[in-house]
Amino acid sequence: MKVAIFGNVQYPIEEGAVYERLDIHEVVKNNKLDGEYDRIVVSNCLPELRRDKVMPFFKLVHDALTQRGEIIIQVPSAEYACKQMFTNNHNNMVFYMLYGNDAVPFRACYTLLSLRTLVERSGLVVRKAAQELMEIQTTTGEKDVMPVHALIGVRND
Amino acid sequence: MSGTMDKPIVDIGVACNFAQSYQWWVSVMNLVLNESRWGDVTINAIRTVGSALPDHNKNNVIGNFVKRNALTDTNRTEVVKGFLDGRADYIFWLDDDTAPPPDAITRLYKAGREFVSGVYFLPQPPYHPIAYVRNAEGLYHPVVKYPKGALVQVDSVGMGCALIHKSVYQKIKDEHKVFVRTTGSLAAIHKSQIKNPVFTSHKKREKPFVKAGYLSEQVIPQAPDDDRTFPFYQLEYGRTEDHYFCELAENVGIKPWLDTTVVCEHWKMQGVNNVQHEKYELEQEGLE
Repeated sequence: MKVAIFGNVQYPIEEGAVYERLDIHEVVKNNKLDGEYDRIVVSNCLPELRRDKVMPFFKLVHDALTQRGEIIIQVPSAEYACKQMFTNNHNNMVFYMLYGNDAVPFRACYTLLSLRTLVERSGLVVRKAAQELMEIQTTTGEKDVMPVHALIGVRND
Repeated sequence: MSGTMDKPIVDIGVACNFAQSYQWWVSVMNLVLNESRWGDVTINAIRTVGSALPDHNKNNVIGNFVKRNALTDTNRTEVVKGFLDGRADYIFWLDDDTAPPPDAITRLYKAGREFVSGVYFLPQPPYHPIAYVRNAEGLYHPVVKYPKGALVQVDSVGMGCALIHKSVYQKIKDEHKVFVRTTGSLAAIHKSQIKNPVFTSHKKREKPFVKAGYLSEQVIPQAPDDDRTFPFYQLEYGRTEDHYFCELAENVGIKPWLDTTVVCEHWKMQGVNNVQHEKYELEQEGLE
C-alpha cells in the first residue's frame, strides 16, 4: 500500500506500507501530484490553501488515487471555534483553529457540511464525515486536544 | 446489482397507521417520481403494512406481494419476507409520518453503506434525532450536537428513513437460530451464543426464573412446520422494534450509519425537522 501524507502529523505505521510525505503548497503550486496512492492523508493543512486552490487540489487527489483508494482529511472544526468566539470562550487554541499561526496562517475554515460538499463535488464518495478530537502539540511543547472534522472519501469512478 | 442500467433495485417498505397526512403523501409521491426520473436507483415495489407493531396477531398487510388467506399474521417482518422473496437489492423503510427529501434514496445509496439512515426528529421537545448510541449499561441515548453534514456510525436508528441492503437480512438469518420462548413468541439467538445441549422439547414446562444473576427461560428451536417468519423486528422490554433489529445486525458485524444531510420532516399535527432541533439546542446553550 502506498500512502501520501500532507501535514505535520504522526501517522500510525502499517507493515508493508510505503509512506511519502508531501507539501501541499508544492503540489498546488506545480499543479501536479505524481504517482498512484492507495491512501492520501491531508491532516490539518487544507486551511492553509487559498479557497480558489482547494478544488484544483481535490482534483489532483482524485486523479492520484487508485480505484477504491481513499482520502482522509482532518480540519479544525469551524462550528466549534465559531461557537467559542460567539460565546466569548476563546483561547489560543480557538484562535489557532480559525487563523493558524504566524508560520502557517490559515486562509479558510471549514464546517463539516462545506468540507463534505467540496469532497463530493470533486467526484469522491464520502464514506465517513464525523467530528473527532485530535491531539495537538504547541511549539512550546504543550499538549491539547482540538475538535476536528474527520472525513473519508473514496474514489469509485 | 440487477436494476436498469446497473442501477440497484429498491423496494419501499412503509409501516402504516390508519391515515396519513396529505403532506406525507405529497412527499412520498415526490420521492418516487424524483427517484424514478433522476435517481441512481430503480424503484421496484412499495410494500406496506397496516401497523409497525410486530405482534403477529394484530397487523394487516395491505400492499405486500405475498398472498395470504387471512389478515392476521403480518408485520414489518412480513414486509421483509416479501422483500427477501423479491428481486430488490435494498429496502428503503419509511414510516407513515416521516417525509424524506425527494432524493433521499439516491443520497443514502451513495454513502456506500449496507445499512444507512437519514435523520428525523422526535416530534416534541427536545426534538432529538431518532438515532442512538448505547451507553455502558446498554441503554440508548439520542445522538445530539452532531455537526451538519455528518455521516457517522451509531448503535441504533429508527426505521423511518433507512436504506438496508438485502445481504444484511440474509446475514442475520444465516448467523442466528430461532427459538420459541415460553410465551410462544420467537427469539433469534446468534449461533455463537448457543451452548449445547439444545432440547427440542422439555419434560416439564417451567416459568422463567432468575438464578445466580441470570435470567433463565425454557426455549425450543422453532419447528420446521412453524411457518412464522424470521423475527427481524420485535418489541420487547419496553423497547421499540428498531433497537432489536439493530442489535441483530450488530451481532453479525453491521452497525447503522447516520447521514445527517438527509433530513426528513416528522409529521404529527405539524412537521418537525432539524429547524426545531437546532433552535432547541441553541436555546439550551444560551445562543438564542
